[in-house]
Amino acid sequence: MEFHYPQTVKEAVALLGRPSSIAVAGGTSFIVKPRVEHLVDLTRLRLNYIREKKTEVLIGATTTAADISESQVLGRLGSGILRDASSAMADTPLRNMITVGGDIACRYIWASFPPALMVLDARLKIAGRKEREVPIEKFFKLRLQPGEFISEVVIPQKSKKGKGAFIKFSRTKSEYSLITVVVYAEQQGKKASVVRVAVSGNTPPTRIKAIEDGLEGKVITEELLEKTIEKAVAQLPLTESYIFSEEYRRELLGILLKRGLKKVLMEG
Amino acid sequence: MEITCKINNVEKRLVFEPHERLMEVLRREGYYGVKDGCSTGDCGACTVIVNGRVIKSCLMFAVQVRNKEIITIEGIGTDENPHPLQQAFVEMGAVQCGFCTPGMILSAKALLDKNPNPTEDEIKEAIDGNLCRCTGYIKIVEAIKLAARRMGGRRR
Repeated sequence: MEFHYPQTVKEAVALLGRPSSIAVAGGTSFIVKPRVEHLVDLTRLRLNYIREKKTEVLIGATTTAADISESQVLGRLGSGILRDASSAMADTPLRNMITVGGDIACRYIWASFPPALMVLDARLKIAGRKEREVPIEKFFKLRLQPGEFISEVVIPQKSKKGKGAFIKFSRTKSEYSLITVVVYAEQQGKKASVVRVAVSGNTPPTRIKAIEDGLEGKVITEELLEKTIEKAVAQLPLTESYIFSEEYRRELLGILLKRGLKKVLMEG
Repeated sequence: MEITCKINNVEKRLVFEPHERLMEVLRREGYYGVKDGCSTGDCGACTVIVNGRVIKSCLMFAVQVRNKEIITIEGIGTDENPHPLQQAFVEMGAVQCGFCTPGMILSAKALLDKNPNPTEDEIKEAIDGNLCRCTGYIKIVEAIKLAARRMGGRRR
């Protein structure tokens, strides 16, 4: 096995394009597989940054969860749900290692960043022989080609306008999330003009369009919330769990969704 | 595989296999204060400081610290001249079996270096990656507060 330290994105793409190569960023969820011959370090490509542009905020893929939890710029997006997502994650030394790109690329069901980025309408820049950009939801439906890796997260500044809520449910604070619920909403007068809801933990990270469509353009009442959530939660396929029953998790998901939506749409 | 890095302010050349973890390599080099607890990133006994940030050395490849600066418990004080955190841990009874202590102290040091006057909540958050099965944490938190007071809010 060989370890490589590329200095540029182009070099990294070339190295990762070879068979039996795998990218390493924070390294916390790395399992050495017997067939891997080349480990490619992504942390020396100068992809550790949070940049505020006119219409977008750009986060380099190897920016750590610790850096995100301390960022003032990200604190202003959707009530700071990205900061809350990083603070809720693992523990201090692990947050110093975990990178935003790695948290997405590993596609773990309990990951905190993907649902939070989904409600912020984030896109992912994917480096490769030909660079491409995909909405984060699409990422979970596609496979990366040899040589490709996530290089940047792009968040529209529009998400400054609304309010957000991030809720992680786990038995202890640092444990993997059993359910994560993230909500983002904008209001116009008395009506909810934009509603985005994403969950993970119980399911792979996913937006719940049934709730979004059921609430957008409406005056929000407790009754409407309950009815919309109940219907959507009943239809959502949940991943199996050997610890908690499906009934319990479905009930809990409904409660957390209501808490998040109420906080964003009905309080202050 | 061969890299250079700084360990406790001394330039070091490390030789190892590419798949070896930082914890294994540091222990082989004689830094036994880096404890092998769970090996899965849960307990924090192997905590070290890399470029000013605490990390769990059982989840980091040794190759990842090329040209970086590592601080282990061996680097912050001696028997004759202990670090104020080490002194405070002894005085407050914050050490029982001692296995979590190096990691605990390094997490506290990284906190005080950045934030010399932490609140109790900030102290608790700083040691959230270090499990202690003896003390119930109260004496540890008190020891960190004492050290912070003694250091007079100065970085050290």
